[in-house]
Amino acid sequence: MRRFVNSYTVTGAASLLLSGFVANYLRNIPFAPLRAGLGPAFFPTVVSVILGAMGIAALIIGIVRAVRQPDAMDLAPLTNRTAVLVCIVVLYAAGIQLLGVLLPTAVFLLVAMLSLGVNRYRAVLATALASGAIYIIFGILFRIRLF
Amino acid sequence: MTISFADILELGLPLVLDGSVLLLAVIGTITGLFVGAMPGLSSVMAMAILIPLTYRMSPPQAFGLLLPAYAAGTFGGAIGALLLNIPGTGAAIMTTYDGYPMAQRGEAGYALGLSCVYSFVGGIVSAFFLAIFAPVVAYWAIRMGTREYFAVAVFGLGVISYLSPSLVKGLIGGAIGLLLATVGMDSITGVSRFTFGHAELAGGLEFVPVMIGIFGLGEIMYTVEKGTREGAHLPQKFGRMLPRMKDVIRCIPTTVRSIVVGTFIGVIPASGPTIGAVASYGLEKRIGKRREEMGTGVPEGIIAAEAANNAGTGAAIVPMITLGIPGDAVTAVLLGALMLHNLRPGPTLFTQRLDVVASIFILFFLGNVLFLIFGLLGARIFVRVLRTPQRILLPIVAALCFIGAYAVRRSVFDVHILVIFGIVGFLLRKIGVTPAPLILGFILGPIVESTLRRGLITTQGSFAAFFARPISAFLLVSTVLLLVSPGLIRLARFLRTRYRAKVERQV
Amino acid sequence: MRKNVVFVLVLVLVMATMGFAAGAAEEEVFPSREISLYIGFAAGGGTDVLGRRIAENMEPELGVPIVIDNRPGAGALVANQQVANARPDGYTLSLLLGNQFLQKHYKEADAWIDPLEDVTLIGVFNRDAWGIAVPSDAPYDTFDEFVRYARANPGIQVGSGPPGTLYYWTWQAVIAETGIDLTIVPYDGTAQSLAAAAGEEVAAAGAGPGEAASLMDGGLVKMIGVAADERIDAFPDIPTFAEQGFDIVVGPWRAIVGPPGMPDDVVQTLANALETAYYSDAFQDFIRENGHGAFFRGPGEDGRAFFEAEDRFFYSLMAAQGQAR
Repeated sequence: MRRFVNSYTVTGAASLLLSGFVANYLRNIPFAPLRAGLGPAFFPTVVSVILGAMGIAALIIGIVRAVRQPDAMDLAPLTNRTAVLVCIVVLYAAGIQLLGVLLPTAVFLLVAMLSLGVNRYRAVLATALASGAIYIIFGILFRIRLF
Repeated sequence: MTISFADILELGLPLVLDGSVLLLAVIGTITGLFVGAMPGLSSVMAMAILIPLTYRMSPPQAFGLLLPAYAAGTFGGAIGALLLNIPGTGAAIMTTYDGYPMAQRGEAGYALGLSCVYSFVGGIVSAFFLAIFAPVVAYWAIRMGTREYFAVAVFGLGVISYLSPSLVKGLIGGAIGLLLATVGMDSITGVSRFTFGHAELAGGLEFVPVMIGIFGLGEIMYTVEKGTREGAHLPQKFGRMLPRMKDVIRCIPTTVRSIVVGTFIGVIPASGPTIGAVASYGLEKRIGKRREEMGTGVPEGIIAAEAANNAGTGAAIVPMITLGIPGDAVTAVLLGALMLHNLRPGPTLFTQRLDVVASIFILFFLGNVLFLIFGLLGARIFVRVLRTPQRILLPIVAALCFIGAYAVRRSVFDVHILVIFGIVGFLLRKIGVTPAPLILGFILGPIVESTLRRGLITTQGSFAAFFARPISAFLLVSTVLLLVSPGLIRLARFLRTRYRAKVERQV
Repeated sequence: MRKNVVFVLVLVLVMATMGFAAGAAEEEVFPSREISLYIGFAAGGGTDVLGRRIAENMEPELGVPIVIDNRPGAGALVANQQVANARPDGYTLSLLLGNQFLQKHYKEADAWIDPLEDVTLIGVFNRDAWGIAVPSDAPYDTFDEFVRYARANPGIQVGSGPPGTLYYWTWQAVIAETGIDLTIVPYDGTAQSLAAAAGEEVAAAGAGPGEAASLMDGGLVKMIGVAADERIDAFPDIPTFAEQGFDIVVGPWRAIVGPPGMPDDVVQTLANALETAYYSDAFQDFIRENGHGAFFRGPGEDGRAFFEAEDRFFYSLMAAQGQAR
């Protein structure tokens, strides 16, 4: 089974899922109430049919490739690093919601730089400079409330 | 409603040659460059920031600030596109295709110089063309109807899917983009779709957070996950910025084609510079001399994108000033600026305030000259951005994405949208779905849907009627040919080899 | 030790009095800091320009700056909802348009506010007239001829805005009133539907004379009527519908509103500033030059009566189509 996991089969499966979700959502929305026969569900339905068709095409291409070159892996696996990254951006967004923009931004910059391996002094310096510039440009010049 | 160069110079120059107007033009240029270059700040936003400042100004002062900002903002999009692979504006999407690879080779300075010079060339040529033909062009543009808008949008989508490394994945990206565009209140019946009870979504997904989520945050996450290189930053050659003579000469056909395509498509209201750049790049990829190398960082690719999108800026101004029909969001803001100064666009403006019209043409011209100067002067500074260690640069750019998303509507909701699309963009990149078709689908989705359905209302449900108008028929047939041609060529090759094999066997 | 306690107590007392005094001072002279005016449309649009113009003329009266804050979304609903939930101190205001009444009564809208209950009216400072623009070589010059043409050619297409907007429902009112058979083609905005009329894609488009002025100058469209009480100063050649025997007065208007429960004196200060700004030469010149309609209603009885009349009008518009909530 694993040999069939490549970028095309994943893309195809994801497209089919999305297409199915859209089709399901649109069941309660009129397809054709207007006099020319087209309602709000018309266009998304057309697009989701195209998406579904392309999804099937991608699946076929993916399976053919898997059969022809079973060793060609073109898909990097999801790692712990992925999870950490997602967590950091989610936390940053939550921080903005709770504390305004500026403070979480400074914290984010510092944490991100340190975890990427920048040395401590440079990270603090870069964070301070960037936060200051952001405050001057957005807070003062563009008059956007940052906290 | 005719206007000659003598008129323009005689009436317009005295208004423009004024210390305050020139100073404002410089300020506008710098703002435009900055906002265009920054991921997350769009030129619409630059206009929104600048317009309140024009309250108490005279019309030449107001346009001295706004028009250079518009011209510089459209070029500025290229800076983010080629340095960071994050287009600063929608119109700069195509500049990522060759600009980014060229910068990655260490020739960021040359890529910037090319973008700057050819943006200038595109802008100036279209400005001249339009100053002369403004009335004719405007009356031509007004004849463009729903079906032409539909065809040009579909053409843009077809071209960008064709340009994707995998046609199937390109079409999938485009379809996802079109679906994202349907979020919110349906523009024809008013029914809500995919809003899941969020009032913020009633007007649709905001463009900036989606765009910088997919292009900016997604790209950054992808780079970080792959692991930032120990080498910290890319070595950059600083030497050459101005285009080499041999490149200039070789690219003359490309330049001409790009300006013509950019101007023509830009004049069709509702399309603007973005589709112009896509179409021009697509044309180059199809018939250009170095079509095989497009996408690897060749000058032709940068020129096709940048000459065309700046040619589109001049084109978009004309229907606005002659008939009051805005071509895109930025020209809509410029229209508001005219109204703010009690100036009503249209033929009356040409007869009663020809001096203002003349000053607008001159200021647009001046704006192009100014961004050429400042762009080239600033290029060394911009390139220095790439010398910042990646591990410091990436977090800062990510933070700018967040602040940009927030700043559009001062809305935390848009920050959540950014995060969602950052993650989506990251995952799509992992499975090889490139962001360009998706974003273009998202930009063009509302046009494609409303023109398709409106077109079907006006034609009483006849799809065939879309082929009854010459321009829309031409564009739609070209799109179909473009999409099926790779398949047909492969089929032809396959049949030919079989035929040969058969012939050989018989011999 | 004891000294310290006394000192702290005194300090607390002093700070508290200062705090009260500061609070009291703020209440005494109402505008003591900048006022935010939310506009639910992007910068540069017609409504935005009107809002900026009126705010600019209110500033000298109030002596504090009015900062325009564009918060587009859901036909200005987002901005108005935010103001409806803001502190009623007079420092947060918004522009309110007739389409807030429309959303209130339209059964397809999922969110709305009730302008009669959820906001405090400061004043209505403009009312534009809806009208009908037709291609300049169309075979009809008056509303009557248009109706006759439509009877002879059932199903002719007319351009409007999206169904969530006023201009869509005014065509419905025309259909209801005259019984003619029109196909309403919804465009994304008035500029687009006007362009379609100019390009002869549709037989007519709904638009105010100010909006159609550029295309009229260009000789691409002509107007066959405006839905105003009397002819508009800037366009004396366009007859009203009432003159032509069709009784309809409708068009977009703009009001300044604040959160519910604002103190009367604050409302009065703002309303006075608005009235002075409205009658200033600068603002009057502006609305005349741009073809906007003159109209003023203060926060008192007349304003309330106007709001109630609009409320009934939009309800009946929706109810006639079976679309009322």
